[in-house]
Amino acid sequence: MKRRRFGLVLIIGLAAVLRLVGLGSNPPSLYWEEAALGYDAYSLWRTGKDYHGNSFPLVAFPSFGDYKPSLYFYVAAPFVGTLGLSEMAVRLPSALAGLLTVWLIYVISRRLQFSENVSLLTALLLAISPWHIQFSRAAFEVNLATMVFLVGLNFFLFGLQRPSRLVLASIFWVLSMYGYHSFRIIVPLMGLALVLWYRKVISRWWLVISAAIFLVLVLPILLAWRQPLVQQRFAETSFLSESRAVVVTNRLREVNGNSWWSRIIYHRYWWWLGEILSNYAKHFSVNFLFLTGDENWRHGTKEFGLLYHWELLTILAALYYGVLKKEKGLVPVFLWLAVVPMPIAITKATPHGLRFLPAAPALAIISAYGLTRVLNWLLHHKLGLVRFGLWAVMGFEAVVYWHFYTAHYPRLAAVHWQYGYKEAVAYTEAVKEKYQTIVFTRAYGRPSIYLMFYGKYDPAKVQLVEEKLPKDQLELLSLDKYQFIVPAKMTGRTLWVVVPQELPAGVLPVHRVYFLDGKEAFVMYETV
Amino acid sequence: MKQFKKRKISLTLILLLIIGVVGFGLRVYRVGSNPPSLYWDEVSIGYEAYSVAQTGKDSHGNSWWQPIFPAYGDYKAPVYIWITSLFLKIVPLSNFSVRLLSVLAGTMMIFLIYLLALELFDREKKEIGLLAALVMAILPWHLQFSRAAFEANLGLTFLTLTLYLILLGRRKGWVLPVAAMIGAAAVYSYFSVRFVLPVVAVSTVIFFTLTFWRQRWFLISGLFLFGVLLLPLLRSPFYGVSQQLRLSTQTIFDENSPVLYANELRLQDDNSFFSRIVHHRYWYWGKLLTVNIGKHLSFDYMFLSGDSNLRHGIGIVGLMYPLFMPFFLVGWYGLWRMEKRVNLWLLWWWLIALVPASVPTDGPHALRSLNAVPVFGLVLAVGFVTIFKYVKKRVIYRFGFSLYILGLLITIGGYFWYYHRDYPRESYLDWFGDYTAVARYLLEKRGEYNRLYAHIGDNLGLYLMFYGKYSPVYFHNLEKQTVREDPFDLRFTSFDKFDVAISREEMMLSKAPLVLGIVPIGEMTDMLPIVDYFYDSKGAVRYVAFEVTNHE
Repeated sequence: MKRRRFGLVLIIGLAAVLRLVGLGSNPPSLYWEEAALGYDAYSLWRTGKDYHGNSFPLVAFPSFGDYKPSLYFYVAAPFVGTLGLSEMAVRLPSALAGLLTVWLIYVISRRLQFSENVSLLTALLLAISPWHIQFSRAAFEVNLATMVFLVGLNFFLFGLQRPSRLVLASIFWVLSMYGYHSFRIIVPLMGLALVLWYRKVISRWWLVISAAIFLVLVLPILLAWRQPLVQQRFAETSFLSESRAVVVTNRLREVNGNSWWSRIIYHRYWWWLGEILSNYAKHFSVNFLFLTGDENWRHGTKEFGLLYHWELLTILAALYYGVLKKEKGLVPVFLWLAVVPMPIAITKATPHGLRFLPAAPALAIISAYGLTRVLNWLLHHKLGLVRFGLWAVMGFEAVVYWHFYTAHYPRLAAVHWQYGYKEAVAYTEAVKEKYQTIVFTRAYGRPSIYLMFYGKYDPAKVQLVEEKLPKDQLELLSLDKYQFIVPAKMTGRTLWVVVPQELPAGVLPVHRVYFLDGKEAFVMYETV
Repeated sequence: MKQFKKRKISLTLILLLIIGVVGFGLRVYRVGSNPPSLYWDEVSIGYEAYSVAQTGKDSHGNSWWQPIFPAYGDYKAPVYIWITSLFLKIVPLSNFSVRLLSVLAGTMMIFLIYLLALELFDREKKEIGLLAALVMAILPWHLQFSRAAFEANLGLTFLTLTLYLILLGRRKGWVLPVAAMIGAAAVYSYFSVRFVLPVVAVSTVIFFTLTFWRQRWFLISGLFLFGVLLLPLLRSPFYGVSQQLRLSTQTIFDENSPVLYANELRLQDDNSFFSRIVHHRYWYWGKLLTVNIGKHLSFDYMFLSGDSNLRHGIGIVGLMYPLFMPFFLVGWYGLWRMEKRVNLWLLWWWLIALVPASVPTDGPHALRSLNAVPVFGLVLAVGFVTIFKYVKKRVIYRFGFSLYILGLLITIGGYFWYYHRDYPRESYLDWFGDYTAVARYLLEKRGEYNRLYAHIGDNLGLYLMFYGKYSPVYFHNLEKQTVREDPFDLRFTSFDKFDVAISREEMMLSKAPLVLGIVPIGEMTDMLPIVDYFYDSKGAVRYVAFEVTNHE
């Protein structure tokens, strides 16, 4: 028993190394969502308001007009408040959440009646998972929310023996709904599925009490349902707001003379149904899971899929044994895995490694279960050498992954992490006394937030002037001496911060900022 | 008792016959007009066969007895042309007669898969066989390729027949040399079979080793015979050129992105030993290949939308009906419980059939992976049997299952409805229906003009030869006067009064008294008298015909 405790400590130590080493410099820079999270959290800590001047937003922070769920801001506030505005401080809540997730999945796995071996392997697989490391090393709301969701799940399973814990489960589950959008759908579905599965052992009274508490706490979200706070997100991401299916079906109906049968056969609902099924299924495609992963450079290395290559074997083994031997413990895990892609199925960008992250712990359990069965089978058939080989492959792939992540990933992905803003802002802030205006390009998107973040602007002052400043949605287009769109009339000495393509011919730059692979990110020149 | 057994066999046979007739009906119904036009490969096959039937030579004057037909520069496999030329001795040249062989090959698959199931299974083999036959009769993937002159479809039938004979050879050794001959025919039918057949055939022997041991002498002679029959292919004067053509399609091995990527990574690592191993370019090529194979396993491709090429699928259904999915999944499970060896063998067959389809860059590819069709038929049948055995247990299950089957039938109905009502219009241009229309128009107007020109694509010449039923002898003579520079362009573009490889400007230089020209609407910039319009299936003008009168 002691040896196993020791094993768990080792695994968590490994997870900590993989999540905390070089956190501030890899991923190489802050993505704009991270900078926005960080600055709003800073503003919240200093003034009790976000930088737009809203006091303690409850459901969502307006940010750039995309209404980010609020939990991460509140968790990050003390970190940013005490450690200052830095990459490390913004990312630390996510990294620590990742660490906690590794421990929690061990506990949950034990509560689901899996053996000590399976549970330790689950924690190990999650600790070294390329997918989970990727999202633990940057300020992703979904990672924090997943951890909170797991706390809730843990209390739910605990509540099967100690019913009063169900209340805690419902509190944490609601909290995760304030943490990330897709939990607003995952939690109710998952709760329902679990209650049905455990209907014979769960305490009715405590269930009713917890449900009531759940409803009360979730009320702010429900009340905001029709407002942009919640609707904005749906409108931006759902494919239902696009009209492609409508155009196709309308045309097919028209050429068939709009007859009643054509209105049935070519109803847009069929098209939508197909789209939903296809989006759902994409999350279980071999290529996505094991080979390529998410298209987005911020959501994966592209060198690896969400899982290691060899996990194809363990997942297949788990499916085989799970189905053939009718392993009961896997059922809640499969339910969990089945529910997570449901909210993603109605969105446009699929498959999506970020929105699918809440399934990562479930896949770790399944994979660890399969791995245990494979290892036992090999042992039973006296194939010790093969068993050793399997361990060697696992270790080797983990090493290759870590090598790729540390040696190559920052250089390949720098541009996708908005690299260069920090260096550019440091320069302009240092020389800004010399100029009357600084025109800063929007070519890489949302420069104002980097100015506030790295320029360490006082949130109280920003709040004061915020209302009068020009904005695109809610992104500031001007601040202090800075203009983020070319102003109509120019006065005095101006510093231009542009991308290389925007540099006028024949003009000599006064300063350059480079990406990690040596290409130019920003060039600066002056006019009088 | 004996009598009862006899009656049961005949019932199975009757059912099989009914399924066969239904399958044949679904394949042959309106096959001349839907798909809406002959694709140029079909036209070329048709004319080559016509030429062989009429003169014993191909359109360029080469003997029919050649392992590769140069055709229009695409170097076709010979078997489809040979057999069609036999048909053309009886029926006239038409869309129907070109596609007839594919229809028959498709129908034959229905019976073959039944026999294959009998050979593979011990228990419930008749049920599985009948269901597999039924699945083959209505499988969208197989229907699509059985309704047009695809050499791949013929190759598939021969491949399946070969594998059946090999399995039969476990008991009757003497069929193994026959299998070798059929296998050779398969190889001479379609290119991807050249890879799939040897690999799957050899692995069949390996998978079922022990049962083959008694027939080893037949086996060796079969292998020897197969080798001998392949020799003419390798010795054909066209072999080199045709290989070049196959290799000229964009494959993943032409892509240098893996090389560049690997080099970049190695440079970042200062070319260390570790880096040269883990970032070797072979890994990245392997990854490209695996990803392409993986694309063929996607839900979208298999059940919802299929191949994006409208000639290879109708666009609103995958390889199978969406509601086949549970049967497909349960099928693999049931197969494992029933016959582990057969399960692994079929998996292997599927994988090997996907390889030639995964080497080109643009996947997934329903045509090149067609050799996997029987795997789907058998697995789906096992899935049906497995599920049916389960739902038999309780009335409520049976009720639910019946509802599900009803839904399935409605989907199948919707498929055929779309296929016959909307597909011809939606895929009109993909099948080059505009070429057929222009060619027929030109042939009709041939008497009224001195010269007839078209500038819509050089392949139009094939359609003129086909629908004009020009005597092959005419082209044999023309060939002697033609200088061929590009071995991949063997088309006849200027013959009789026609010229189809001519630009708009060159048309205007013609001195003939009365000239008809057909050009895309976009090139019609002056005020010449327009005599006719050609529309695409959605009602937009695509080409116009105009007249030029030259007074002497």
